[in-house]
Amino acid sequence: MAPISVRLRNSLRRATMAISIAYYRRYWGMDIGEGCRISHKAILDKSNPRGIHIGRYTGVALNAVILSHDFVRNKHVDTWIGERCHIGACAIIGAGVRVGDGCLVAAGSVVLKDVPDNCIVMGNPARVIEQGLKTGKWGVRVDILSSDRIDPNVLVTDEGKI
Amino acid sequence: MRAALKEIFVKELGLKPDDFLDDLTYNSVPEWDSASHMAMILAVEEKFDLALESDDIVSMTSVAKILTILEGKGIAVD
Repeated sequence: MAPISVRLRNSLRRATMAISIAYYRRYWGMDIGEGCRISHKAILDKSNPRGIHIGRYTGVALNAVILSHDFVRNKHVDTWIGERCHIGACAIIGAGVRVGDGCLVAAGSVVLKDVPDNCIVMGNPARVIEQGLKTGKWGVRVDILSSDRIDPNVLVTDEGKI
Repeated sequence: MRAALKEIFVKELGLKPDDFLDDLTYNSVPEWDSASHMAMILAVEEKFDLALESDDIVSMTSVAKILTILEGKGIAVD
């Protein structure tokens, strides 16, 4: 079992994360689905907070940037991220991009084009390198893990999606 | 081309030379996962001076398919 400092930190993190997501929704008016995990260090665009749409059970890692305004063209756009996605550390999701359901955006990727459902994208500019994957909550891959290594908590059971 | 591809697999994926077979498929060995797939694609592009499309990258799921796709781009299999 993990040291007590780690367990304490994790439980505090979960609790404060719920508060910060409630703050994003209520104060900023962002559309964030249920069960999302958004790192405290992730950066969601506050210039056009109503343009941020994140599906349920999506995880956003530290230093990821999700933009919804285009300064150069002086416009506000809507950026959509599907459900059960994982946005890796330091990834940048460009303004107006639509990331499908069940996608994994690798760390440091720069996503400038729409991403179809159930893909892994990687690189700058981000390119699709694998299709047809199956993800559980927060982008945990349930297709390549053996069944004994899958935490049953990550399976989305309602609506029979997985 | 096969030798060059083998060299890329050994260098980028850390695969043992004996494990490089035509029926080797993506995700079938721990060395060939999504991150090393991307490293391999970049190495192939540099080696053969190509720019691969997303469709090609996604369909490169086995050594045999990589060879077929590269052959279709005018690189002779030796």
